[in-house]
Amino acid sequence: MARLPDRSSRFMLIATFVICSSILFVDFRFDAFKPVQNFYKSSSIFIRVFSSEYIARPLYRSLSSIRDTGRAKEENQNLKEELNKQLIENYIISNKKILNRNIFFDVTTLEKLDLKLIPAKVVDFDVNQYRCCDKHRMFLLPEVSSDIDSFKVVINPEGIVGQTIKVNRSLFEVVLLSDKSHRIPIQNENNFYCEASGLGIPKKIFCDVDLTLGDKDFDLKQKIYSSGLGGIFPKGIEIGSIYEIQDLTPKEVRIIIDLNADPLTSNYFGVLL
Amino acid sequence: MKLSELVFLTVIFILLSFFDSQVNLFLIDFFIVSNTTYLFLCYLCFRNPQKINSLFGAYIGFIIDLHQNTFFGLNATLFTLSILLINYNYFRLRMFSTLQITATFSFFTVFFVGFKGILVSTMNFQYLIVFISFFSAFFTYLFVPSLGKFLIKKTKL
Repeated sequence: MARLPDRSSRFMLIATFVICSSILFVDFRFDAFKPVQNFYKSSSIFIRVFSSEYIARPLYRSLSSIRDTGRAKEENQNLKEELNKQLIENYIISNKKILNRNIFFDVTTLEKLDLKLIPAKVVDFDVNQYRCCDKHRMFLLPEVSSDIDSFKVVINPEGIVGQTIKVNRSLFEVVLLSDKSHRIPIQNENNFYCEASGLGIPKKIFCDVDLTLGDKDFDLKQKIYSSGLGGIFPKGIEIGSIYEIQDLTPKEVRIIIDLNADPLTSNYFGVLL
Repeated sequence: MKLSELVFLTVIFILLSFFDSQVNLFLIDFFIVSNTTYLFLCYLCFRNPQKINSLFGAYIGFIIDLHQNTFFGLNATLFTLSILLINYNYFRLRMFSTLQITATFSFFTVFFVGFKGILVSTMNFQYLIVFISFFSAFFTYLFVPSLGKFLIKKTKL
């Protein structure tokens, strides 16, 4: 048996490894430590936002009052934020007909349906994880004090980005469409329906199609829409186009869809209530 | 280990993890992954296995798991496994030259990157990243001892 350095305990080395791997297994299999991670994340976001809003920004403002260029920069930033908000509102206005036509919402109040939009700002988005790994998440803070529940649609000026998961009263997590664990029901113009999963690659989702179930009609660059099945996403919203068709087996193909909405384009998002 | 040393090392590891994630943003296009945090832990453990024990590895691992928002226990498991391996082969590694140590820790890094890739990037696992990470770890580890000496010269680690 290998000799260990002085004062090292063989039992402690092995026991710690076994405990850590058990914790990893439990978290991987059952997501058991999600509340701990949420608590850490929301606390760190709170500290960051608090220090930025009440310490860094006042300090910066007092300094920028000396320099006019600083003020101009802030104004430029505000204008950009306003423009982003306006673009989201424009997106809603231009798609309102389609959104109201969605038969999977409450049919009796179809005409009265007034889409409410809550603007929200990104407080934490691990771009590195978004580009390297399967987990595509971001944390948003609503601009108005409103309790945002889970399973609400999040949009940006380019289209649907993902859906919400409630973390606490003032913070929510967004599962992006490209997240590996995310599913969105889709369709094309030829009544082809499918449940697309996130591919784990930025702006890409995929759909495995069994060709034995009948003729399927799809081509590259064909537009893909949300089908509204499942009741979370509105029906008929263009979400992207077919990017690649891969043959998995002679009777099964994988369609890879390039999404329209890039979550990196703006800091502002809208949540449809 | 004193509390002040623990806090100091925790801050250093969090900063290194932050550095890694920032650098990886640019390197990921070239299929390269920066693993300074992991190599720094290997260096510290090899330098002082009595103080940098498996409990410390687990603690730092859990902190980094929370910081990076990955599966809870992923870094902790891999850190404790590396510390276990270094401890079990400590006297063998002591006989190695600097180049051999660098190559050994680079192989450890390959396993680290591969295992992490399987769990966090299941659908897009790329062997190229694992392969290239050997070379990136090799070059990074050439600077890690200098970085380590610079960072911890005031402590007795």
